[in-house]
Amino acid sequence: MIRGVLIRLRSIADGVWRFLRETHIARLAIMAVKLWPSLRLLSISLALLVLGCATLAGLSARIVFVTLAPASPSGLGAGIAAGLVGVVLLELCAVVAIAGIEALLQLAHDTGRHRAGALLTLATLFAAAAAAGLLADGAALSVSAWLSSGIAAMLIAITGWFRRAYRKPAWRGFRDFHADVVEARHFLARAAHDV
Amino acid sequence: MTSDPHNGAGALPPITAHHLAELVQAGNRGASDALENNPPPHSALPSQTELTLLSRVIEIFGAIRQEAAAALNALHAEIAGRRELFTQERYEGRVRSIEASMRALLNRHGGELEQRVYDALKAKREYEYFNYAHRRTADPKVDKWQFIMLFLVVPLALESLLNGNFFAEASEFGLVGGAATAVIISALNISLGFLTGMWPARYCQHVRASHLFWALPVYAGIIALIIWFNLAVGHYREMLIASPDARSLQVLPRVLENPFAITELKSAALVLIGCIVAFAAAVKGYSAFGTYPGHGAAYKRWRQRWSAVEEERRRLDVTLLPELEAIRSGIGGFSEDCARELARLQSSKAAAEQARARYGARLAQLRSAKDAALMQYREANLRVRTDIPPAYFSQSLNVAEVDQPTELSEYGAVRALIDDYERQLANMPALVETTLRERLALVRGLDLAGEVERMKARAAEAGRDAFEQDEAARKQANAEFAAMPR
Repeated sequence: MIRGVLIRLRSIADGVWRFLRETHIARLAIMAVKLWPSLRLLSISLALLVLGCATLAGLSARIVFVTLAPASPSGLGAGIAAGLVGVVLLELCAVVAIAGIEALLQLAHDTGRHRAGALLTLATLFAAAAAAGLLADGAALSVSAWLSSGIAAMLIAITGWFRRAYRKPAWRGFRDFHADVVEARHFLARAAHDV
Repeated sequence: MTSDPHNGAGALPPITAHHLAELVQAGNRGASDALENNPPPHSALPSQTELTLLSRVIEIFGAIRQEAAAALNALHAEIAGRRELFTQERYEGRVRSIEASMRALLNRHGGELEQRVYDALKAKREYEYFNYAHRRTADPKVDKWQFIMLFLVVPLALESLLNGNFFAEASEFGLVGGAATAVIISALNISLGFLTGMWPARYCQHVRASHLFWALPVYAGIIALIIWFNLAVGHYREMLIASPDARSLQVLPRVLENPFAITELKSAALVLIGCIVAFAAAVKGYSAFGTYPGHGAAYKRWRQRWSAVEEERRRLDVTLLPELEAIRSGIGGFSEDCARELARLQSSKAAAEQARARYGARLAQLRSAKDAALMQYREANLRVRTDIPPAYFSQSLNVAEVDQPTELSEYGAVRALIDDYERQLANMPALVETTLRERLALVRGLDLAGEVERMKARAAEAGRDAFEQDEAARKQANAEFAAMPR
């Protein structure tokens, strides 16, 4: 009897754990972890992406809590609403991020490493120009300036890494771009089913 | 055949008795000799005057003789010269030259065909290399220029009609002013769209990814420009409705200030139509010259070279065969030449006869003139003299050359030459046929069409060989370069 309850409890826990693992934010986090040994830079950028999603969700949850707090003296209802909003927004952000990554991978697969590199370079140039513009005319450094310069720095780092990893066969860490892209797409496709 | 006898007549005037008698003053001398009864009756020798007369006669005879001899010698030389041209060796040479010129013609055309084949193969290889280097898997579809023009002009007309309708309400010049504005606007739209499709859009997919650095910004820029331009057009129409005498440049600050503030439905439709037409033109521009830059050109070059080969082959069939036939037909012309020469020889013979007859006539003239002049001298002498005349007065003085003329030796030579030549000409065709039998058979029996076909095959083969040699040399050089230690 107790064993049966325990088994049931365990299966419930397993189901919850599986459900949690299959959320998109968890997939993003798992990707970041799995990439850490081989591609640190990408892993870091994915982690930053997860952090960004979490930050966005936390901020919006806080706004909801602050908005709803006067209506609930105990703070319980506001807290529940804020938590729900935060969870939903986190998942939404992760979905959008994964869709963007899938689109980028599709584009990379279709265009090839050279064109992907050129596009990346163009995007970096654009981002750097935007950041420089924001930094130049903003006397007091605003959040957007910080954000854009951070993005630009990240893009610059990724571009440099891309250039060395995929466009310089003489370099030690030269990788097969096509194989990487295909593998990444496979990973994204099967991430829902097993870790 | 030139008129030698006439020239001779011009050089030597006809001889008359009067002239001859005047030359030695026969009558006068006869009478003055007779005053002293000269020549004496017992004299057997002719008098001084008669001797002078005779010497004059001999002189004139010499001139006549010389004239006839000159005419006949000229004839002789002419015939001999013609005969020089008409020998068997010459004919052999001609047959050989006909054969050689046929071969040369074949070789020349073969060389041209070979060059064309080589060029075509080279262009094909270049095209294949292009396909390899640029990762093309299919041939491009290149439109004819008429087709492209149609695709540019029809949207231009359609958009101009629509725009003109919309602008006619706003323009103060009515439909005409509206139409003019509309045509300019749609021409700009179409050319911008075509340019977008043809230039940056094609280069965006270039194998060399660095083209993206200029092509993508230009692409985005031109698209933005097209949209902005059409918005400006919509604003212009709205402004015209608000104030009919607005200038077109005044629309700029308005657009820059608030580009999407278009309120009226027709102005918005104007913007939309412009964008759609530009898009259609871009699609056409993208596909007009092949969707990959340079692909269509390489393909077209190859096709052109190949069709040049085909055209050359067809041209060989059409023009070379008649040319060869015309050259070969010159080979049978020899018997005709002989016949023509024979006809000419007849006239030469007539000329020789004429020269001879002329000589005889003039000799007879000279003879009678001599007799008449002597007679004049003697008559004058007889009238005046008192004693009996010498015995020889009863007979005429004989000059051997003039009174017993011999046959002209030159005439004999000319006749002999003519007869000989005639015989030779009559025999020559048959002789040539027998001596050059196998060569003639070779040339006549030449299968010209087959020869042309063979030449074509040989030229194609040679062109391919040259190309393959080239390729092998290139590969060798590449291999050597690759094997070089670095």
